[in-house]
Amino acid sequence: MNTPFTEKERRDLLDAYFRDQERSEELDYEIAVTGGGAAETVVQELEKLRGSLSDARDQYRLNVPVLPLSRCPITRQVAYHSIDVYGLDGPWWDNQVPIRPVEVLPSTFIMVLGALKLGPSIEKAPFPVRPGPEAPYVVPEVLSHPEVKAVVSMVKVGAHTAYPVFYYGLDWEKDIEPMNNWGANHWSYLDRDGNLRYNEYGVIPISDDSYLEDLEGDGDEDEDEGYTVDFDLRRWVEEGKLLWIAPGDQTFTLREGASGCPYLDLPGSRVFSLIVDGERLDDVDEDD
Amino acid sequence: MAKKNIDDQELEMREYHVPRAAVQPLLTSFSMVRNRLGEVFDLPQGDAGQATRWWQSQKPDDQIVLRQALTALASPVIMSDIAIMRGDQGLVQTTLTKESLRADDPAFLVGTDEGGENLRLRRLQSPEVMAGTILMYLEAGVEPGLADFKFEVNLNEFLVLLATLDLHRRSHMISLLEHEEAKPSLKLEDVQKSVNDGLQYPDPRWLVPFVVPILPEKPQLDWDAIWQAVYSLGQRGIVKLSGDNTELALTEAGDLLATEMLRKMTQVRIASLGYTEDGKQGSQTSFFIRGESLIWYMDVGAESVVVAAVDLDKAGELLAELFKPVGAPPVAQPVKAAPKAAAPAAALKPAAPAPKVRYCPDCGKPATWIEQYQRWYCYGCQKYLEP
Repeated sequence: MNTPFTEKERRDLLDAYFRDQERSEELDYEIAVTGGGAAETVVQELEKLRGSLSDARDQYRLNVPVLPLSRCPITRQVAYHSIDVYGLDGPWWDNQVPIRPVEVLPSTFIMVLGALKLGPSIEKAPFPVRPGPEAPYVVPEVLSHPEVKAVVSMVKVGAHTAYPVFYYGLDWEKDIEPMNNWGANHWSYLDRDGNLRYNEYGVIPISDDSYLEDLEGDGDEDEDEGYTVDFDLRRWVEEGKLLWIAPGDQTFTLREGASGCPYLDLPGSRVFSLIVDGERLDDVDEDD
Repeated sequence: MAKKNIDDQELEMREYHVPRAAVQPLLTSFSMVRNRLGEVFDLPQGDAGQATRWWQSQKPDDQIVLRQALTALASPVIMSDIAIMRGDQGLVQTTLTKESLRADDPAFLVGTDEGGENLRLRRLQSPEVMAGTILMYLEAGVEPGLADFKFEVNLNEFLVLLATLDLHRRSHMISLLEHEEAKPSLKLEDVQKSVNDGLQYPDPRWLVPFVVPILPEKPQLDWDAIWQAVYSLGQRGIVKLSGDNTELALTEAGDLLATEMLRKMTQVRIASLGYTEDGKQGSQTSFFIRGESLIWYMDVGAESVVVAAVDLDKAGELLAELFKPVGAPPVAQPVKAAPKAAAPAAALKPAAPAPKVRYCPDCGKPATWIEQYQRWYCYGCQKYLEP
């Protein structure tokens, strides 16, 4: 297998992976319903499959493309980030258990969010995919920070068009909680000291029981100060807070200003997508 | 600047060996963006299959660091060629390179193994680690003294001064061997021979050969030029000519310098190449010499050299400045249409000849155009090409 894998190598890998995964789920079920009385051959087959699945995940993680996607306006470094550009059916896009390599990014990296304009057909995958809305957006609460800038770019993902938006900054950590990285259920990357940073946005730490006070309160407390989204990029581009890279620009030259910016007023749904079994749904919280 | 502890674990950092032939194919297969400065690394176009097999044989943890190294090789914002000579021991040469404009971001030291087949790479937490190491060598276990000593000379005078200091050191050694008193004066014809020897024999234990490789001009010193330089050094109060103009003696200032060089402990040569904020190529060449009790700093400009005694803190500041990138080089991707802004920018400098590709006549590798000196420089041989 090549590094990064070719489209065919990826297809073969995923076909075998999904087939083994399906079979292992069948065997798991069989063992469960027999109450531990399953045949020894079944147990052995399951163990073998688990080994194969683990190997396949390693192969996928090691060979998924790590591509230039952005450039930091502060350090001027090109930001290389993993992404499965062959389609949404790769486990990189698995929102619950994304398979991604350790990301090595500029020291100024805060987070990467994104949008994805769906193409004519959507891949079927045995996991939920959350690629964002169809048009790029920014998070005002993060981008308003005086030391933060963002960069929007474009990359093709199979038949779809994706818009990663990287946030970079200095001295931001005490003010900003990074959101989960694009398509994933967590945020992580390797910082310049070699430490793996990890966060799950929106998760209440076990040690934090302050939410109990809200439950016990009389309802007069302020609303939760969560992040919002803004699809009107013009303002941010004109303010110099949002920079952009022209689609297809292999030099990843940073550009400023609204003139010629192809990311303004793009068509597409402003509602975040949830893709299940090849079908797009509006990803809305039913409690809302 | 705070000094780094020699025992810092950074000095025992892991060295990665990367086949030189694997680098270009890996940069291509990883779609890495290359800039103009990255072209200075002369890397052969190796076999892609072999490169991939080599890459896949590396441990995943190592691949993380190696990816960082590859991006630094592809798109450096600064490259500093560093040569360190401790006492009269072997010369250590390396290149510090980093891809981030943030001063305290990690950097890599790049060297080659003896056979030239592999790059030897070390990741530094920041360039300050390298500066700290050099400072430690300059401190040499004994806190240097202070002296108010500074003068500026042109390049010819600088070279003749170094040749005089080399000659003085040789005379001193000979006098020790011969059980004779050191001669108080030096013959001008011996100074000329010292210049010529220094230019001919690349023995970095002596000052002239140590300095010459990164001087902006290949010295062309005939007898008249040497005489003129000695005369100027006399005017500056560093040497004193005899009445018949055939010998020179060192003044008190010159003698301080010469005495310091007799027992020099460390000499460091740094040539940094980078870009200015407005995207123009720039370079800075400096030498540090730890004498018996002082640290000497020599800053080589296009026309002149400033020689000064500096303390350890000042040396630290100067080193930090040498390793600090200022601007980002242009990206080296094929450009189909030249940017419109390029034409008026070129028109502003009609005197500057448009650089063409040149190759080093000695090693055959592509040379780098140094805008500041308007000269071609070979990083492989660490010397300027003939105009």
